[in-house]
Amino acid sequence: MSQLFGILYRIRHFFMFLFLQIACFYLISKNSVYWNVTFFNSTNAAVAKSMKTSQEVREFMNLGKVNDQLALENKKLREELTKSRELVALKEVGYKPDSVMAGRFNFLVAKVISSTENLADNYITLDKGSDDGIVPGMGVICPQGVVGQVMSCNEKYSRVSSILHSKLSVSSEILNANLRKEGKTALGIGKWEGANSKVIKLNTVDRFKPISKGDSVVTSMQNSIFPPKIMVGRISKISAIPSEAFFDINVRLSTDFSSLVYVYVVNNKLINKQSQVEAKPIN
Amino acid sequence: MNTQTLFKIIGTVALYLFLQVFIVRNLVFFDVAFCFVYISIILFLPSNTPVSAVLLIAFITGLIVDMFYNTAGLHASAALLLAYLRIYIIKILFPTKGLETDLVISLDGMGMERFIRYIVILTFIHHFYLFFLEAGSLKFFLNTSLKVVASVLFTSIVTFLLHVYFKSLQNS
Repeated sequence: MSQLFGILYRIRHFFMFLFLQIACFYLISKNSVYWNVTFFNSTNAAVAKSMKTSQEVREFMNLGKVNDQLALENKKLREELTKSRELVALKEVGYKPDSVMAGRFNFLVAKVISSTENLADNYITLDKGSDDGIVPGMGVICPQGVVGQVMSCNEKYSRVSSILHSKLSVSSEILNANLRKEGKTALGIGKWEGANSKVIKLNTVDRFKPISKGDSVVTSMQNSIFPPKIMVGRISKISAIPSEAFFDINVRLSTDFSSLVYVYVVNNKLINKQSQVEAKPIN
Repeated sequence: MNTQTLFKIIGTVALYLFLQVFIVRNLVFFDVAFCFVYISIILFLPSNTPVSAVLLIAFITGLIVDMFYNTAGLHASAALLLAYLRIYIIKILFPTKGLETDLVISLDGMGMERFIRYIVILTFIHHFYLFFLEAGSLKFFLNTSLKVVASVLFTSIVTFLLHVYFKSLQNS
């Protein structure tokens, strides 16, 4: 018996090592799902505050870039405004846009206080939380395009999993003149593959759609998280494997994750109504 | 272990964590070369530190780094492995000097060649484990291997230079 205790005593360090390792793996397994414990990630108040300070320094050096982004966005908004004014005349098709439906999205400006773009799963921390009305599940966009989805939040901060995350996918749509002429839509699911932080894959676009390199990819109408027609990126490579029904498409992201400063958190006011309808069984 | 060494260790931990979180975290070359200079904390603990203390220091350091990288548990796990294997690596690399006699883990105490070998081997173990655990699969084997090699080079050089720099500050 004493010999047994002797052996156990001799490998006590191994037991301690094992015990702490198990604790680590418990944390790892919990990290990539939605959970309420925000102590071990960057929404922890002390961590977030110190990162904010270091981000402020970087922000100051990025001011020029931010100005450019804002100016570009203003330009685009102006263009869209004129376009939609012209479109009012085209309303005779029979579809009546409902003002509640058209205005279901509202936006909330938040500042990025930390972000990564080259890990296996990337997160962005924002300086707004549930006090400002953010709840997990909301979409996040920026002037250049889509960013990600809110994953967890506390009163003051929230954590966003960016498009560069293995568990996130975006329902998207390809836009070009050929498709518009034929009245077709090419829907697909955008998902990051993990290798390159500037490129995502677009899956389930069938092989007989007339699409080509350089076409823009935007968020689709069948999307309750992001508003439709938000830029995702441009097609950088298409290849068709003969035995498969779908194209193999690479999309170059339009969002530059390394210089994110201001983002918009998208609140879909009708999302509860929509999921209510979708959840009801047909009888 | 007396109070003086204890304070010295706490100071080193705080210093390297500050460097890691506020400065080195923003340094990534070509999306593949990362620098995890915080492993210096574990590498340069005095060789007569009790194993349980080394494990605890590694665990806590790893958890703090994890908080800033949003990777709960990942760095803690890698740092723990590093801390656990450290004693065995020391035994294998320097068989003549047992743990009982005080082996000083520093450039002066080990000599250039053995010191560099010590840093590179332990850094490699840490990075190899870290990146493959992070990738979660062998799907991007080449990409992950490239990350490991580039980061081992980067971290080793920074670790070595910082060690020499801090030592020269102490001596002057």
